[in-house]
Parts: sequence; structure tokens; C-alpha cells
Amino acid sequence: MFFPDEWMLYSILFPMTAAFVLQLLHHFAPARTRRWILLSCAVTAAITFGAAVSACFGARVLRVGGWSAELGILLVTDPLSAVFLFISAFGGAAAVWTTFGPGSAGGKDGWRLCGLFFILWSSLNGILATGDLFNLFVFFEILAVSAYVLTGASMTREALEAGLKYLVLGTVGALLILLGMTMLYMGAGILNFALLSAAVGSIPRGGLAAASAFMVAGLGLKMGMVPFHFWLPDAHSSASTGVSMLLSGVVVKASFYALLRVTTLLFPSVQVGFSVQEILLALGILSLFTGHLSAQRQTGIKRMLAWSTVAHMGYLLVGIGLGSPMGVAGALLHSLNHAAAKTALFLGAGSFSTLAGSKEWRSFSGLGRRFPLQGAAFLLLAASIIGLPPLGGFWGKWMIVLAAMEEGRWMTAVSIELGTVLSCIYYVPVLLEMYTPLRGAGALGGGSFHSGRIFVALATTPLLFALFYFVPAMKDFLLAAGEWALTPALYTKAVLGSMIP
Amino acid sequence: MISALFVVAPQRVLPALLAGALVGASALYGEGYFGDASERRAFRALLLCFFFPVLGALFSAGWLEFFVFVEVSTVALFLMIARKRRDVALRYLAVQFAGASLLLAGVAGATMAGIPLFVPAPRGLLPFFILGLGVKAALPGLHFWLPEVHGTAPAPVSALLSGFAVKIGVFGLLAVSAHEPSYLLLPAGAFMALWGAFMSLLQQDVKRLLAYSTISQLGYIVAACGAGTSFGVAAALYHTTVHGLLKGMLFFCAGILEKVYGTKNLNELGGAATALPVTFALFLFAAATVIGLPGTPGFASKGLIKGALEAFPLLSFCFLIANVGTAASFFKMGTFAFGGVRKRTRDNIPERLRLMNAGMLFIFAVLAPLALFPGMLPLFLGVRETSFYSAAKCAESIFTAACGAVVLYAYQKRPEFGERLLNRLDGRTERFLRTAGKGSLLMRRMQSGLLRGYLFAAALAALVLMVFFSW
Amino acid sequence: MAIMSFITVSLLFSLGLFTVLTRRNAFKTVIGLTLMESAVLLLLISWAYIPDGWAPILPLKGGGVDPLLHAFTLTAIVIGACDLALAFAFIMKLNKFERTVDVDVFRRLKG
Repeated sequence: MFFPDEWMLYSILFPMTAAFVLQLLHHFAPARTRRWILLSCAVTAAITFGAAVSACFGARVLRVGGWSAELGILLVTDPLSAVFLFISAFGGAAAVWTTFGPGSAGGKDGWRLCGLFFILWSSLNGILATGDLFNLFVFFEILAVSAYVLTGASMTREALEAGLKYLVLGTVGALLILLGMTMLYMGAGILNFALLSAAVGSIPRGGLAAASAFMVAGLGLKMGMVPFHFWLPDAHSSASTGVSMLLSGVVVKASFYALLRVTTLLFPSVQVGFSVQEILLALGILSLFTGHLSAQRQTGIKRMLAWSTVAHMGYLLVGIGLGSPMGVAGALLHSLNHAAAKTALFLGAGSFSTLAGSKEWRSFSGLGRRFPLQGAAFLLLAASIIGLPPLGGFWGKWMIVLAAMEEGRWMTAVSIELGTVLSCIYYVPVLLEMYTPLRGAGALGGGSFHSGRIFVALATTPLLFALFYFVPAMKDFLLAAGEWALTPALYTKAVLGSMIP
Repeated sequence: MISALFVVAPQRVLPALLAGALVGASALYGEGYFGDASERRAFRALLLCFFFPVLGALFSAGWLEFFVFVEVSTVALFLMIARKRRDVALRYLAVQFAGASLLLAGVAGATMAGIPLFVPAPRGLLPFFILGLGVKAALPGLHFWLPEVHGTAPAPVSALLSGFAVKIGVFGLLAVSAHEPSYLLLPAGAFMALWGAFMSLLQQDVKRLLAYSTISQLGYIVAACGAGTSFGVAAALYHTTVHGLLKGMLFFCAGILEKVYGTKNLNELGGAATALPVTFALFLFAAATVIGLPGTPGFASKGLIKGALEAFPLLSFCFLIANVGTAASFFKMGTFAFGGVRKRTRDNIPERLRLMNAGMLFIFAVLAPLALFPGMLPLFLGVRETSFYSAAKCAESIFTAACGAVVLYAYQKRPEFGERLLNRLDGRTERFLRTAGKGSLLMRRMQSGLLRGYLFAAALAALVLMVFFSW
Repeated sequence: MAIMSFITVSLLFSLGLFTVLTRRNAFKTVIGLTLMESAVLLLLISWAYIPDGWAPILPLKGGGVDPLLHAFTLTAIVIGACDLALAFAFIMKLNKFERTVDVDVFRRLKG
């Protein structure tokens, strides 16, 4: 409305430029770098937020360089990307603030990484705003490279090993995406989403099947879908706190967005004759159970949270696999909830680990009593992620369950809620240990809770997102976004309609 | 919007009054039971956290609100149990949420179809409701968690669990059942009554005895729900109220025995009649009520249930046998714990004992009017029943009590037979939960750490996907 | 697209996949990945070819082959090179810690 179309371009360009400028700045004014990092972070978050708001009400199309759809690259944002742009704005800001904010260790030595954070953020916005497959691939690769380096940046043995495994598996994923795009190009001759979506009916079925298999496999790998998830627990648990927040909270969501876009625009079941959505549903249930079952008996808190991410990505896949607007809306609400909660949980886990001196959750004895506000925040977030009503995490699952029962898939509905059972089995002992330790409070490292204010601020989200279900305007927005996602014709018309001079 | 959320009706008010009475009595009892001041504070706070969601559940109009409130109350109970035994509490939470998973599917279906509480659910959704609520109401097959949890929780919490929490499941079953006889609930109720009575006779732990007795009495209530008539509904609610109150009283009694003598094992208790006279008197009243002797509220409520099940003579016979078993097990508890020679004493703090007895007296005060005016509650529920004290009914109840005494005498002649049966039957399903937990270790072997293994899995999966898509 | 190109692409890809799956030396794993990538890029270039076409550079001498795929390939090569450099950096750092480049030895994170 009042944000011009260029904001989505700025949300990509600004962090990219800022990355290089900040790295250079350190050579000239090392003492002031931190302030400039935080300023850039705030500006990027604001621009991304603006791009999100501008996209809430309808599709926005930007023709970069003035080239038309066949020749050039389009940037397109619509209500679906708006949801994920909100996640990018807030998740990215939280992560950068945690790493470089006042009182953090990141300021002194972490200037080496500040550029990477911004490059990662820029590529995230690129994935969310792009309207072209080629562009998607390029941004995915920029994202991947910065993610690989950030994972390994803490230079511990575990981090390096995790980084290498992430790199190798991530490259395989990129190869699969590349193969998928090749197949699509070989069939249709174009790589623009809107034009491709209109032309997909003319691609022979065998090629389309191969293309969709490769795209689902590749994008699923980036997202942590079982059976491509093996890198995720390692990478998300070995990275430093700020990086884990970014990876688990925002990066996997952007990959999910890409999967959602590609499967709904390019392989809708109506046109292609086979159902990608059934496969996504099955893989979603598989991810759900794998993630929750593998998180049982984990002794390290961050690894437990990482496996929990695998499971929650399963919920999202089930949501889109059901193929109804309510299902997609539930997946979107759950993305919002999970992004906020997982970001905050990683922050809390990191701070508690520093205080307790160890990454094992058994060493968190009595921390809940020592830090009552932060302990309560952690409790609230964990309860929201488990899916306890009436907190925010429940409502996304509720919408997905409603969608499942609408289709008559009761086993799916029961599996979703069984996830709550399984997750309370591994989260609750941690909470109990924090409040009522079995062997009395252990010897604690000194110090205060790092980034406590952000943590507590993020902890209000479970209550906030519960409102999403009850405030009709928000619920209608989600349902409209779901409707938008499932109707490729709307997207194509919005994009190509603006082409007519 | 508030008026659409909550509904007031007699069948909702009665359980609410039951909840209020139990919570009040537990608060009083808890002052005496918990020695530590911080424990008492925590218990009071958690009691409130339990009470208000329960009220919300009972008065909610739609299934979604009901579900949300029930889940919150389950969490409150979990926290109460976790203060004593963390592992048992976690198993309780896991089982209740597993039941909630099934219930949620039913709730989702009902919400989409716009069906509120107390409107019969469509046939397709009924299994979800029955299975989900059945976990709470301890239907056969879904009851495996009850003996362990009710047996090891602290006494006031067991009183709340056995007295009220299981009744929420029954309330839900009432809210969803059709107005015709249910050939699922009727036999389930009979089986529960028989099984519960049989197992409670075998028990040596006094709280597990009471827990199995809860299953048995729930069988009566579930069968009355299954009868499908409004008379049956009234009978079920009446027995719910009576049983809830008296089970509270019995668990309080068991808690007093535990605190005074330091043990829950019936073989080690004894001689409490002379040491704890007030408790003994109240126990006699409660036991008589459970057995259903004339003059107690239990007699009236069981009479109503038998009246509701008149159309099913086979079931009535089963309940007769179950009554014999109940009588036998409570005679067992009475003679072992209160009769005989005093075996041991631990600590005997008079003021705390007085507070605990006060809790029991509170429930007695609520139950006594029901004994004196048995027709009052059914009238409140819309059912008129006048012939409570017919000669046939009195004779029947005294006869079953006598049979129970005979059974106990025979059982005591060969106690080792009972012990063998106990070891074979009890605890099997608890062990099931423990082995189920080991399955996750298998899952974790997949994450082997070998990069080549991961790559192989990814390549294979991509190939399989390609095959699937081209099919 | 010529059948020879297709066979070459398949062979290269299989070779790359085989290397990745069976070789324990981390460098060989990375080489395998590069082989697979090269195979896909070769597929792209082969598809771009139009008979009697010329390089798609202005000024054109007659017809040009498909330029989009060439641009795509260049981009992918750059990305591949970046990944490769990063992989080597990781392997060398790990070598300093573990004193080996055997991927089966990098098993600290499991379960």
C-alpha cells in the first residue's frame, strides 16, 4: 500500500552491501563496528518487515532491470511470502542481536562473522522474494555456503565435523535441485515461476515426474525432511547459539517456503496427474515420528532441540500434504510459532548452558529457580512447542488436525497429536530438572543470563500467536494465504497480469 | 461470546459440586498430610490450578473448550504427582495425552460439524471419543495406567484422581453417547466391575486395592451410561457423586494409615481401630457405602443403577458378583488394617492427625444428607424414585455382603494362591510401557555418524521418490 | 540432444556417485561431488546446443545456441568452486584435529 515495490529488492541488497561494508569498516574503525552491525541489523529488519507488510494484501511484482518475465528476473511477494518474511525479519534480528548485541562475546572477535550473517540474511530474503527458479537456486547456494561456514565457525571438532557433513549433504541437495531445474527447462524452456506454472501442462509426464522427484528431494534435504535429515541434528547442535537460532528458526522455514512454492505452483495434482501432496504427507508423518522418537533420551539440550526441529518440519509437511487451505493455513501458523519458539529456545538453551557450564540438560539443576523470569519464559516456550492448549503452538496443530479430519484422514490427525505426547516425554524432564532438581542445585558458573531481554520478549510469542487463531482478521489472513498457495492461477494472473502494458 | 462458551444444567452442576467438595476436603486434608510448609503451599496452589480448569471443562458448551480445559487440569494433576514420583507422573502425563490425541480427532470432527456437548456424536466419530475418553475413564484395555498412578500418588492427589479426574472421562462419555443402549459400554462396564473387584481382592498394597476398586465402581457408572435412558444417566451421575466422595474418604484414610504406620502394605498394618478411632468410624461408613449396605448413600445409588440395568439380566448378575468381590476386598482392608493386633507405630502427631480427620469429616458431612434423603439428588436430576428401601433390595445387599465375608474367609485359608495370581496378573501392562520406551533407541542407531551412510540413504531415497512419482 | 552426450553424462554421474559412496578419503568424496556436478553441467550444455549454432556472444555470426543455459552453467561452476574451496578448508582443519582425512573417523556426532 504505502510501501513501494522496491522494498523487497532493498531487503536483499541492503544486507548484502552491509556485509561487505561492515567487514571493511572493521579495518578503519574497529571500536565502532559493533554499533554499525546493530544499526544495519535494525535497518534490515525494518526493511524486511516493510516488504512483508506490503505483501500482505496482494501480490507485488518487481521487474528487476525492467526486463519482462521471459527475459529477466522477477521479484514477487504475495501473502504466502509475507508470513515467511515476518519470520525472517524477527528471527534474523534476534540472531544477530544475540551474537553481536551488547554484553555478548561476539563483538570483539565475531566481527569476522558479521559479514556472513548479513549475507545469509540477504539470501534468505532472496529466496522469499524471488519469482524465478534460477534465482532461487543461486540464493539457495549463497545461503548454503554462508550456513556451512557459520556452522563450522566456532572451530570445535564437533562444529567442523558438522560443517563438513552439512556441506557434503547440502551439495548433494543442490545437485538434486539443479537436476530438477534442468528437467523442467528441458521440458518447458522457461524458468520463471509464473510462466512455468502456465506451461507445466505441456511437459511430458515422465520428465515431470523426474523433475518433481528431484525438486522434492533437493528442497526436502535443505529443509530437513526425513530421509534427508541426517545433517540437521549435527549442524544445529554444534553451531554457536546465534547461528543455531538462525538455522533452526529461519533457514529451514525458508527452505520449506521454497518447497511449498515449487510443489503448489509447478506440480499441482490437478494438472500433472500424480500427487506430490500424498508423498509429502507420508514423508511428513515419517519426519514427525523420527524426530520425536530420536529426541528421546538425548542428553544434550541442543541436540534435543535440533531433533525437535526435524519433527516440527514434519508437521509443516503434513499441513501442506493435506492439500486444503485450512491445512496450509495451519502449516503457516505453525511456522510462525515454531520459528519464534525454537529461536527463543535455542537462545535460552545457549544461555543456560553457559551458566551451567555444560551442554547436558542434567546440569541445568535448579536454574529455573535461580532465574525465575527466564525460567518461566523457557517453561512457556517449551509448553508452546509441546503443543499444550491454549498456548500458541497448539493452534497451528489444531488447524492441521481440522484439515485432516475434513479429508477423513483420522490417522494423520491422531499422529499429529501423538507428537504432543512424544514431545512432552523429552521436554518435561528438562523442565522438571530446572525447577525441582533431583540432587540439589549443582555448582553453577557465575554470571547473569545472556541476552535475557530478547529471550523474555520472544517468550511472549506463545501467547501472542494464540491470538492469531482467535482474532478473525488474522485467521482470515492465514486462510487467504492458504487459498492463495493452492491456486496457481491466482499467482500467474497476478504476475503476468502486471506484464500487460 | 461468554454465554456461548458456558452452559449451566443440572448434569453439569452436580459434578461441579462434587469437584468443589473434593477440592475443599483435599485442601483441609493436605494441611495435615504434608509435613513441609513449602509442600503445603505448592499443594494449595496446584489445587486451584486443578479446580478452575475443571469447572471450565464441566460448564463448557463446545468440545474444543472442554478439551483445552481437561488438558490443563491434567497438567495440574501431573505437577501434583511429580512432586512425589517423577517417573510415575511422566507415565501418567504420557498416557493421558495419548488418550487426548484420539479425543482430539473426535473433537475436530465435532467442531467441524458444529456438535456441542450432550448432543449424540455421529457414528463415525464415536470411536475417537470412546477411546480418548476411555483412557480417562479406565475402560478395559485402556485402564493399565490407573493402578500404578493412583496407587503411588500422594493420598490427597489420589483422592482427586480417583474421586474426580476419572469422572471427567465419564462425563465426556455421557456428553457423547446416544439415547440408545450401547453394546460397547454395557459389557465394558460389566467387565470392569468384575475385573476391578477381583484384582482388588488380591492386592496387598492398600492404595492399589482402592485403585482397583475405583475401576470396579467405574464399571457400574459406565454400564449405567451405556443403558441409554435418562434414568441411566441420572443413576450414573448419582453414583459418580457418591463414589467420588467416598473414594476421597477412603484414600484419605489410606493416607492416614501411611503417615501413622509408615507403610502401605496390608500385611504390615494392623490394630488401627484402637489407635485411630475417628478414622476407623469414618472408614466403616465409607466401606459400608461402597459395599452398598442399607442406610448408606451407596445403597441408594447402586439401587438406581440396578434399576437402570433391569433390562439386561445377565449384566445385573455380573454386577451382583462384582458386589460380592467388592465386599470381600473391603472386609479385607478393614480386618487387616484396623483389626487384629497392633503391629507397629511410627509417628503420631495429634494436630496433623486432627486436620486429616477433619478432611474426612468434611466429606462425611456432605455424604450424610445423601444417606438420609436418598431421593433428593435424583429429583435434582429429573428422576423420581421412591422405592429405595424395598425389602428385596435390602435383602439383596445384605446377602451380597455376607457372601463377601465368606469369600474373604475362604481366601484367607489359602493366601499363597492369591499371591501367585497377583504376581502373574498385576503389573503386566506397566511393564509394557517401559519396553515401549526402548524403541526409540533403535531409531537413534540410524544416525550412525557415518557420512557415507547418510549419502547412501539420501541417494536411495531420491531414487525411490523418482520411482514413486513416475508410477 | 545427442545420444553420446547422454551416455557421457550418465557415466560421469554414476562415477561420481560411486566415488562418493565408496571412498573413505574425504578428498575423494569431494572429487566425487565435483564429478556429479560436472555431469549435470554437461547435461545442461548439451541441451543448449542447437545444430550449426555458434557461441552466444555478441556480435552473433549466424544462429546462437541457448544462452540462458550457458549463463546458468557459469553460475553453477562458480558456486561449485566456492563449495570446493570451503570443503577443502573444512577437511584441512579437521585434519589438524583428527590427523586423518578418513570420513569414517569423523564420527563424534551420532545418535
